Amino acid sequence: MKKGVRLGVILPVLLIVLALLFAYSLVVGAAGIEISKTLQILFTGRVYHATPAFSAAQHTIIWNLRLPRTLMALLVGSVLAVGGMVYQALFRNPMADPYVLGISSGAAFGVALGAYVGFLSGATGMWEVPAAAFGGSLLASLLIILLSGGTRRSQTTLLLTGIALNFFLSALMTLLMYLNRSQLQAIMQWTMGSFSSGSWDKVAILAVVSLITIGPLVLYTKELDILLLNEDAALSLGVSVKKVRLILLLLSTFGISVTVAFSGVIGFVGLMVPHIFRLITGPKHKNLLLLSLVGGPIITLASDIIAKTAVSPSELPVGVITALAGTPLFFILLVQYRRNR
Amino acid sequence: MSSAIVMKHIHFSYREKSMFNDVSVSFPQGEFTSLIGPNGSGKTTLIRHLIRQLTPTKGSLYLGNKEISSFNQKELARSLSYVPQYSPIEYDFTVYESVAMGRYAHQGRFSVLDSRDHSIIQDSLRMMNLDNLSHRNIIELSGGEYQRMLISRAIAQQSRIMVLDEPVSHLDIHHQKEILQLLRNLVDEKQVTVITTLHDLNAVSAFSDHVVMLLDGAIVAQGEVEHVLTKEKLEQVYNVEVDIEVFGHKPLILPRWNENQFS
Amino acid sequence: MKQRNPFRIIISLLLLTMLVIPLVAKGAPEQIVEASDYLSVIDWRGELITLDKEPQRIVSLSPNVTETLFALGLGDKIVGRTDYCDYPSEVFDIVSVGDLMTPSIEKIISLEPDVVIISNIGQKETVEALDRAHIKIAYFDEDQDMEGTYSLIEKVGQLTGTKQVAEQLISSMRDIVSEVQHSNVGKNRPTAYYVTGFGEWGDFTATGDTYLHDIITLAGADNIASSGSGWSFQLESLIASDPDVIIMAPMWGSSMDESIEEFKNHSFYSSLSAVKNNTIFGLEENILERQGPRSAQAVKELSDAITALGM
Repeated sequence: MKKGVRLGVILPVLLIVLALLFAYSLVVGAAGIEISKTLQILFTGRVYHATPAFSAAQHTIIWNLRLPRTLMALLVGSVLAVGGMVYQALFRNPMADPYVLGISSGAAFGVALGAYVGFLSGATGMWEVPAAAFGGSLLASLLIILLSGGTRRSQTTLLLTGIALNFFLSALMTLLMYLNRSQLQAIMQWTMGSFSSGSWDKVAILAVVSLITIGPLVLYTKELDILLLNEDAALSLGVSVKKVRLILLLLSTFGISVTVAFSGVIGFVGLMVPHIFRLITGPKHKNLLLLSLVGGPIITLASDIIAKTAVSPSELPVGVITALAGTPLFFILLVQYRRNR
Repeated sequence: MSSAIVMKHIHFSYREKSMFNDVSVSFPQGEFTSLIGPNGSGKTTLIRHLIRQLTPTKGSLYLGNKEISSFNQKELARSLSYVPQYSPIEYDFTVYESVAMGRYAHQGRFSVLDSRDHSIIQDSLRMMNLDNLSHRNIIELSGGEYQRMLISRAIAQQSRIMVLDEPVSHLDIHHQKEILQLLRNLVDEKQVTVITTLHDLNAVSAFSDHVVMLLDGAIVAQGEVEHVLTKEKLEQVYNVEVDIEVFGHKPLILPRWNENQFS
Repeated sequence: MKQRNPFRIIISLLLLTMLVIPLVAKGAPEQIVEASDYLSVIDWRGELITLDKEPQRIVSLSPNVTETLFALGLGDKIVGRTDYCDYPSEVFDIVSVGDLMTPSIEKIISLEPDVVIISNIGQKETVEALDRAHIKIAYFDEDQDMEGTYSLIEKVGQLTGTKQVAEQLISSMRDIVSEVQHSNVGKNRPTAYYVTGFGEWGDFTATGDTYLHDIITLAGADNIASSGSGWSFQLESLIASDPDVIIMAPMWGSSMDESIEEFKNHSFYSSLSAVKNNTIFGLEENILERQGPRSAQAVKELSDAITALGM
């Protein structure tokens, strides 16, 4: 019996929820701008013309802070969820998460190393930290792929190498951070994830990256399904397994690395979102891709809203919220799923 | 009789150990060929060469009259399908979705399943008596049903050759007969070349047109059933005493389980 | 009706009285043995720490304690300090026992201190470890404001037998602060924002629960982040509040000028009035960051700097 909720039912619901969260994220914030003013500001457009209706500060808050931040949360959510989906297919393991190949520990290490050698400072510009983080991720991922013998070896080898490198990098990073307490605090805070550094430049880059990394996946959903079978079966069905796995691995790793570079390490989304939808609507990637694309941002946006409203005017790190809120949610679903079997 | 697959002077080593030393064998087109031999004789290695999971260190392998290395992955899938040993996966695709994967080799990057694909899938399901199960999750299938689904998927590939590795070892005799009969039908009605490893020698006798017998990486015999399944050859290869009874043209193999059996 | 045995009633009443008296007596003012305020103090844990004589060998595990000890004239008695103790310069002649989080217990023990003093910048694990090693340790965790600073100085003085020096120091600090308050009377209070973190690292400032907040307030400015907590403050609140004055903290790896330049050029902050009017500055030394004897001086310097901007 075909179980599960139909895509045609759940997707519209998700889209509505996403739209609502998006709107809410624009309207809510520590600056306390009334909804009517927010709408006015949005309709006025991106360029500010002096008007008594609202101040320049309010205009800049809506257009240059909230909107980019919201968009960044959206894009990061999509890339993380879809990236997680791809990793779970590549490793044939629904518990694979996008950080398993050293992206997050590599990024943190890159930042720590950057601070240590003086490339980064407490008063650093917009691009140095993301550059250091991205460099670290790239290095770590490449190292893992090389050390594990490339895609010639099994996923298990890849996974184990990734775990080993994660541990090594974390240990190394702790060593580095022993040298300077204020650096340590800054790096730890950055690692915990935040969308607050969202700007239009970053949104533009993320949009392009999302397109490049998610776009092609639409054409690879058949292969993603078949990759879930064992390798012999996949090859015999005509899938160039090694080539496809390499392409998918590179695309998703690149996308996830960029998100980490901009927003720190945001957990739960990549692991749980595809997993939850797989439980609800089944394993076909044609559906899973769409659902992850929409479901990921729902989680990140909701978490960001909590992050900025819970202790306003202070804020909480987003990554902590996604982990805290997400895990119990997953267990509830797991219990329900088991009961239905 | 033309050959679906010809292996010429194959040499293959694995980790310094020589497995095939100048092996030549051909598989007749449109016939049911069984591959037999004791464990470790090289059956699985041979199968893996047929499906291009392994490449010989020397020698050549032809599918039809084309060298196997000249096929790209999809072309190969259109010519040859493979049913692996029972290896269930934990993802709950439906039977229909799973069989539909067999159409991948015929689809382009941008194409979706059209009505022709769907009718092929439905035919494949029908051939394996799976029509009423097409919406079932594959996780809920029994061993026999799962095997039929795998074969159904291979049928959907519409390849001239189907290679199977131990398709019925884990099934009871009812389901063994069911599946072997369905494979036999494929050969008789659709002229598919079926190549399969089988343990049960009497099943081999009952269903095969052609038998290839291996021992220690060498072909001991290849040919018609009654020429390969002889007392002398079986005892040589399996190191067990057997008695042979012939019914019609088909030998019935009776291993001597103990000294006093049948006496 | 049963006849009430009068004898029994009397005994019951006596028993009751015997029960009640101790309860009542507990409520009576006890003769509390007062901790003497010489060479003796109750620390944040509630422990009474007493020394037999004036300590000759002191280990300080916090930079502000080190400063305090020097200010109390006990600099030559310090035999151990942390890597982060950097004021006054004489401190560099003293051996270091490690960092703030995990100083070397072994090293501390080898120095044979009469007492170890640690303030809230330290770690509870260190305190417990030293307790187990039977080293006398005083843990002072004072309020995050100027009164807390005075309290710290007083307690250190009390413990080390320099209470009078401590009181004089506190008194002079109070004078400095009062003087600043007086000179600011009638002047308008500018709004201020203190930058401890910005840009990619996130926006962090002296929220209302920090002692820096107290220093800013005493210096005559209104901290826009007073309603925040945990040093975190949302960027849009900063933009919305648009403070008159921005104070930059020393940033690791950058000079003060570089830090201010980066801040001014960063797209997020370039629209702030303080950036446009260039009412953004930083105090070079880290006196603002440390709750200690120089804090009153910090208030004065901050106030002077703000006045110099014409605020």
